[in-house]
Amino acid sequence: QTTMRISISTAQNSHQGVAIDTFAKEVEKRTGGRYKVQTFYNGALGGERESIESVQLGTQELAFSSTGPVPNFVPETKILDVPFLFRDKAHARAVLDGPIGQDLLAKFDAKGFKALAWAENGFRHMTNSKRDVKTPEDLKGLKLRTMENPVHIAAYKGFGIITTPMAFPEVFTALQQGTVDGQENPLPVIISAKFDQVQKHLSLTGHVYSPCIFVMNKGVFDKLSAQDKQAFIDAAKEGTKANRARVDEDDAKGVADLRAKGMTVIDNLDKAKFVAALAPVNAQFEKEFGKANLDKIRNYQ
Amino acid sequence: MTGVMISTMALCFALTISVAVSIGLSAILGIQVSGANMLIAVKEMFGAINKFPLAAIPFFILAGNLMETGGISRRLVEFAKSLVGGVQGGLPMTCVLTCMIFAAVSGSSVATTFAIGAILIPALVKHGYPTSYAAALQATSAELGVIIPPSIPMILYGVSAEVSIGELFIAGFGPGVLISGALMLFVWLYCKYKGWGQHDGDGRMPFGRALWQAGWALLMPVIILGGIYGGVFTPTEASAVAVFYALLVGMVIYREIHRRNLVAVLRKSAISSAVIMFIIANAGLFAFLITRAGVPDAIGRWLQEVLQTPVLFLLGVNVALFLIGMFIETSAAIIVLGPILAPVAQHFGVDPVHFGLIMVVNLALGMITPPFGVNLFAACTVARIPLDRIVGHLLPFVAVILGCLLVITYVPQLSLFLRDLVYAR
Amino acid sequence: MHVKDFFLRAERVSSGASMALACAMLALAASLGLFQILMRFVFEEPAEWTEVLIRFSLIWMVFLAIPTAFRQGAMVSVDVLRRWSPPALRRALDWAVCLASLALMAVLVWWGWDYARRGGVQTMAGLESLSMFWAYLAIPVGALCAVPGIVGNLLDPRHEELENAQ
Ligand code: NA
Ligand code: NA
Repeated sequence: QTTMRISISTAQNSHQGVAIDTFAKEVEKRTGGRYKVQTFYNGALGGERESIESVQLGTQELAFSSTGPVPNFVPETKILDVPFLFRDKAHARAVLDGPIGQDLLAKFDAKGFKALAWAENGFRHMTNSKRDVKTPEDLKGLKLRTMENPVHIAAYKGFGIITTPMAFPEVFTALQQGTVDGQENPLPVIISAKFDQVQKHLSLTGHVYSPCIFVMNKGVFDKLSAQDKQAFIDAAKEGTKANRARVDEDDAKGVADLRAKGMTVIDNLDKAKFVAALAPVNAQFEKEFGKANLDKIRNYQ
Repeated sequence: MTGVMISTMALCFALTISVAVSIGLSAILGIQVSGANMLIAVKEMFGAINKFPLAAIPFFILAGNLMETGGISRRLVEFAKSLVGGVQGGLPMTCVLTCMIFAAVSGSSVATTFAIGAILIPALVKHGYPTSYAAALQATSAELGVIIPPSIPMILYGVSAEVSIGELFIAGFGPGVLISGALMLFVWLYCKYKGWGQHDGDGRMPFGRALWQAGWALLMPVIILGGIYGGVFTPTEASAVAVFYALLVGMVIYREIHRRNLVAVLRKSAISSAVIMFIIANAGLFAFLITRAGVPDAIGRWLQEVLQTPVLFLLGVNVALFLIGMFIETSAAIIVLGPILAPVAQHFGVDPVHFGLIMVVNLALGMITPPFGVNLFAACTVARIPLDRIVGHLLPFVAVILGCLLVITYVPQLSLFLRDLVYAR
Repeated sequence: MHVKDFFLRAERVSSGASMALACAMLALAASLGLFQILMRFVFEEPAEWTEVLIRFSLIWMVFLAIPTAFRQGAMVSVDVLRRWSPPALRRALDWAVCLASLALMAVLVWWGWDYARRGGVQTMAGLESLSMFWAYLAIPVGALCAVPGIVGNLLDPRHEELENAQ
């Protein structure tokens, strides 16, 4: 029996936890118990960047991570960070499961990874303590904590947001003290970090879709028999199914939950206005990623 | 593998090999024994110090050294003396109070021992106090350096257990004031009993003048902490502000920092920071390996089974930390034990911030318990006496801190009331 | 005797040079820290590359200051045995300390270089134009520079750990 490790940076009871728990169970089942996958939660083996690097170096066999740090390893994936690229979850899932997503998975091979499957964190939404954000104008001058992602930062600056990178454990108190006015994250993160206690206004901007990915060390994957390779890929697909189901569940419960906790939730904003406000930045993205490539994703049916 | 690692580490410690190297070598042996990839060694060392909040450590060290070189300790001593120096035993009380104030500028205990001890130990001896008493008093009071914010051990706990450093800082005030008060009361009574220090108040500066002189130094904690709790900046940014405030006061206002000693300060701060960050790097690797081997989960389950109530858990943890603190360096202990114990504490319903304070106060106590206690060594160095001579006078001080530790452990409000007030929980 | 003096002199140059760089890194990091706050609060235009640069210049500072820390015996140790032992045993302990430190440095040089080389395919988050190679390089370079310092401390022992302890 061979034991492998997989890690996530969130809790076991989360949309990521359910993904790797299902994956581990399925691998063991589909290989007749010849492979066992040991699961680590809460960033016990390091943050997302560290775990992806571990997989690349081969010091860890598997990781499940959001694609936040992935562009630093596989620059081609940067395109997925473009705001308002996907209409909704169904669109995003169809693109990632279809030929475009599969092409992107193949790009990992040259960097020492075998990317098994796409999964997701869901759409990111904005919260703040200042005002209801209904139109792009409402975003002007807001101090927002963001990830260190150049595409995100360029887009948020396009809205007139003052972007502020900050370590996650400090975000809660920074929001409370007004060091920053707001932050943006998928609903499950907003709920588990209890941001509702320090943020009054939530807008379901869904400005960026946050994919997740199952990655495996290429060398380790290549040593598997053809049958086991398929078993790992199928197990990752099962993990993705469980992950997406949980994200749907969290999204559905999340809005009601946050409303009950006293947040005002703006869910009927006119996304076209937000897209229009980003036109200059989008022109820049079209130059960087190719208009054809972006349109191929945007118009995928 | 864990057994190999721990026994190698103990052997290396015994052979006087430095803490960082001992921990690093035992981890490397652990990797070798378990057949894992040796790249883990360098990767995890790098990862352990590749964290932005840790930048506060070198910055607070640099700020403390700048303040010290800028002539702050002398002024703080005068200020404290003008406040409490008038009574019998006023000089030992001055020592406690100065350390308390200096602690609000410095993040470390050893730095506090050197800065204040260099002035107060000779003064105490001149006033007829036994040298060993002066050293024990200084070593103990300097503990406040890591309990009152800013605090390097709190930064480490915050980073390794993923707790807000800002909240830890503010939670340090209550315990810091408790320990200061208890120590002052104790030295006052002790001096009455011994008949020491009848003329401690001689040559005191009037309060107004002392306050005027020390004003710029006293303003630093106000700016730093006010900045953090007023929502202006994060603790890490506050540390950078502290550096430039200290530089401004030392160069422009007190005019005691010149180009030559500025280089010396930079050098000393870089070495101090490198020493502690190298310990953090090696301890981070060690912690990673035992986490990967599943040790924290096993210990956590075991603790939950054996110590079934929060009261017992806290007692057990305190006893264990006290014993560990006798032998192990504080930063290393926090990096390795913080992530193991904090989740268990949370399971028992202990607030992670409160638990951080318990760990920091207990391990700060370890800085004055022989055989390994950096504060003791520092105080003995300043007082020029061998370690064994200090122990007699040290025991009552240890007892006082232990008493305070019990209060801090079982009265969570002491740590949390300010935080709850400021953060409106 | 001649060889020893020559070695110590060369060591002073190499450790001194890396120490000077370490001081520069510390000054740079502190200045960037102030710059970050100014950009954020005065100009309201935070720069995302300051944090990365602060982290990596401090890591370079750590590894470049280690040689001097070893040279001066500034690394904190549990030195009870040393305090209570006769000179002959002390000398044996000096050797143990030296060999153990060299063993750790050997691992850091060898695997640190490997790590830097392999990490080179990754770019820095927040500073995409730079490869992580330049950050990881601190480990092998610092460890290599530490070797003369460690040997120097064996030839001419100093114990200044308290002067620099925190
Ligand atoms: Na302090
Ligand atoms: Na101790």
